[in-house]
Amino acid sequence: MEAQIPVFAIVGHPNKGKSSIVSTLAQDSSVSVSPLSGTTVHCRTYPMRVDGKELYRLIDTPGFQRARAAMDWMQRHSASASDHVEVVGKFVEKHRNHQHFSSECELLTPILAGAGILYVIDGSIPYGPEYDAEMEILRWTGQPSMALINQIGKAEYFEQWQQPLSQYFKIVRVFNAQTASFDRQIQLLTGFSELSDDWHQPLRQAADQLRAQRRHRLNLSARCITEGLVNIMQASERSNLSNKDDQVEIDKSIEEFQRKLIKMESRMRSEVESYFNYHRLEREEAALGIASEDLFSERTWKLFGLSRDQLVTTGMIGGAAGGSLLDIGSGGLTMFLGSGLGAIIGGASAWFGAKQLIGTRILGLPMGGHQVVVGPITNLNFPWVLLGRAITHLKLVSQRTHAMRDQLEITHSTGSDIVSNIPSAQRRAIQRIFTSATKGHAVKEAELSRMVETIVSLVATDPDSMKQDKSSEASLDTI
Amino acid sequence: MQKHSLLADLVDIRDQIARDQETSREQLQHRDRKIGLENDRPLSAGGTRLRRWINVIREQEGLSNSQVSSGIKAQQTINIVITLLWLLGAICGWILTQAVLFYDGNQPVNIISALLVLVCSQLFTLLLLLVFSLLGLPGVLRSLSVFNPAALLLGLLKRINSDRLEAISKLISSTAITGTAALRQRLIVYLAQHFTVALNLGIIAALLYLVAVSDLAFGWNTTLEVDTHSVARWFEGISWPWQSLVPAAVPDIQLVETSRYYRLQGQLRNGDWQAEQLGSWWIYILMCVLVYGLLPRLLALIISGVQYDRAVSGAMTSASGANQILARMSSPLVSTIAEGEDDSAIIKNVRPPLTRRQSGRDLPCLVIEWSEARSSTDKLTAVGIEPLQYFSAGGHQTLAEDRNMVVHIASHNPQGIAVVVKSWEPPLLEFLDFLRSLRGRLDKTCPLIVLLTAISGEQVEAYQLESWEASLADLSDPALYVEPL
Repeated sequence: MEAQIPVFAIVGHPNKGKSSIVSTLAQDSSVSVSPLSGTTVHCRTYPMRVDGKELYRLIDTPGFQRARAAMDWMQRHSASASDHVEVVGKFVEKHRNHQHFSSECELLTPILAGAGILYVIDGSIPYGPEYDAEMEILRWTGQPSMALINQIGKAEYFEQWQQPLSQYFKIVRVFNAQTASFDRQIQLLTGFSELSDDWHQPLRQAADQLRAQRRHRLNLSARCITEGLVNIMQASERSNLSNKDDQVEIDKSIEEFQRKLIKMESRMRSEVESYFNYHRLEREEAALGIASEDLFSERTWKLFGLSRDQLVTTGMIGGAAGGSLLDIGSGGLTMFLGSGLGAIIGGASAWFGAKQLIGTRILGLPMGGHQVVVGPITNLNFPWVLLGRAITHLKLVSQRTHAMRDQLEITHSTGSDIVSNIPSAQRRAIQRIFTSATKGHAVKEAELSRMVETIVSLVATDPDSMKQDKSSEASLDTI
Repeated sequence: MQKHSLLADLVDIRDQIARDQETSREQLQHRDRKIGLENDRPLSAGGTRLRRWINVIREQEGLSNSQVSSGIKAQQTINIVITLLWLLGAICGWILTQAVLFYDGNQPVNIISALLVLVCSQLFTLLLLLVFSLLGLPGVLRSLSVFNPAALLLGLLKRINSDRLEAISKLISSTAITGTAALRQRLIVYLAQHFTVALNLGIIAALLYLVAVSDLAFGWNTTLEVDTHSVARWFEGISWPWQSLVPAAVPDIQLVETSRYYRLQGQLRNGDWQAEQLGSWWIYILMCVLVYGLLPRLLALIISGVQYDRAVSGAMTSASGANQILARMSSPLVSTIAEGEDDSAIIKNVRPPLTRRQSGRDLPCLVIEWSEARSSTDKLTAVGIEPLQYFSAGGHQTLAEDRNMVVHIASHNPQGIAVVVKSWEPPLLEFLDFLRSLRGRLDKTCPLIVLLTAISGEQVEAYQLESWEASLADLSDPALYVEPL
């Protein structure tokens, strides 16, 4: 016989963040989260499946609406403490088809079927006597239970909640559905196994799978960024000119080229978001902060690119690499003059090249007329700006919880210093890829893989997320 | 499962990746993971796994679509190109040999010129290919490809039938991460070897034909004062590879001596025309073409074929999107999202909104504090309410106590009732039940004012007021008001 999978019913007072917690744990943005009460009217199931095999199930339930009246009914029909579970069952049976206690019946049904109870309260508002009836009803069900203190607002009333919660629940945990890092989410999930020994193994397995999925998502995103950047670096736009001096036509082509690049970058964003199950963000993309921080604005370049010094250094390295070919070719007869000269030229073009971003070439056509070729962009800082923005975006998306419904914004604090902090060896390796791509040369798979690894390591070991983890860790301990 | 060529698979994989752009990621994950679970061996090479993948996709698509795939079309085109190159090569070889070995009986065919054209030119191009390949100078090779018959033929066919060559042209025109820059080079080199093998066969066929149906005489001449023995040693050196196998194809000193020719005198060095002896050079030329022409080109064909296959495999695994396919096949399909559609009800204010209370003199009210929501006389006075007496309801009160309190209040015939509630808690149906029971006992015009208190030190938020107004509007009570306290 197949062992019963762990099922958890997320229950509580209306508007205390039950759906937010489900949204975060199930990584599902389709969950309706609203500051208005009574958003959830029916139970909704969130099965966690691995290749079709279910490992656990979360059930989002409507909040209690008439807890005092339900408790009153149960007390009137109970003879002693030994019949509490039976009385709750009778209550549901009697009122199942009536509107009056629809929320109570809806939320109690999965619990009576064996689901563990996750009772959610909002730790940013004070405790009130209206919660007692709810907690008492849940105690009457006799199912294993845990209280989760969610924090919707800024204030903290954890101390006030400690005493009443500890009367009804053995385990009480603090979990901020909005800001919980991935590790916190996994920690909470595995913590559910404290409710029943039988749930230990499937929950551990689920946690392992979720960790593997996250690694997989980061890898896919990093690969998408790497390939996307190479494609952008190769991009160019050709259009025919009636007159080779027609500046209006040339400017139009430059604008068209810019639009093309922005579209390519935007497509890259959408793909990264989709890896993390964010489909609504895609629709909101036009309103994203990314768009306001235009790809070609001076501010964007300052925020996400390399510094002048780093640019010059990287340019010198690139130039020296080119010059060293001359040295090798001459068997060292040039006394390494090639490397030195290459470094000077590379550094100088990096310094001066930042001003001239999009180059154009006018070509004569065999059958007469002219053609303007816009791009590829050879400016040394351009791919670094793109990379900085892409990593910032990936970082924000990967750290975001699905309970967050605000816009994704790349600000100065989130975007600065990302590419500047890449170790110089990796930076040089990435520069080689950019250089090859700009020249239209093939980039080796091994080089691409190394860049993917670099991006993953930058996002996975992000100091911001570590900071966030540490601050929430202090308040996560069992009360 | 039908096996297709590597090229057909590559083109179809790239086509499928492009088509997949229109499909949702969830669908792709389900499809590829299913293929992965049923057909994949994760330890196999990436290219092998991708080929297995495209074969399954072809089978699935084939049920509804019997059209020939772009990959098969591309392979057919390459086959046509190879056939044309064989024909062209053989014809060129035949014509070249006929021209080089032209003999009208007046003067013998110059054996050195014949060897230079038929053998040395081939060796030279082969050497160039080898040097540039080893030095890794693809740019030079690309520039030289304007002289390459395969590149020329592809260019010509593109002008005649661009549709047929579309897939190949797309494939070899893309560069960088797709890994097809190398593929283009390998394809051209590989195709060119077909031409050169056919060229050698054409040369051999024409030589044998000429030998069979006409008489040939070969000679050699030079202005330089060359010792015949040195020339003989040179010829002998060339024939070193087949010396023991075909001794008849090694010219001896006497034949070399006899074959020396002076045009001024219009005769051979020893003055005697020995046509039969001079014709015996043909077997030497045949062996030269076989050993220095055909054999290296056959080897080049095999090696370039292997390199071409490797390039195709490389382009397969480095195609943009290929990594994602492999990842989708091998990664477990983890799903955490909800089953079915979300039927959550967002409250919409369909009822007429509550009316605003007229401001004026203070209204004497009985005050009910719901669920321990606290108020103060000062605050109540500030909103135009004169508290007469305080009562408690909700929270720890029992339902019976609430009912008794309602009866008690109603007996006072109050001018107004203020119910103080917590703004941070949502309006529950339980509270609406209470208001209904209160109204049931009161006059319909008696003002019922719900006052929202805020958490100490804070203010009632706009969304909280909106939420309460929306919920209480359901009661359709014209004398019901909601206000922040």
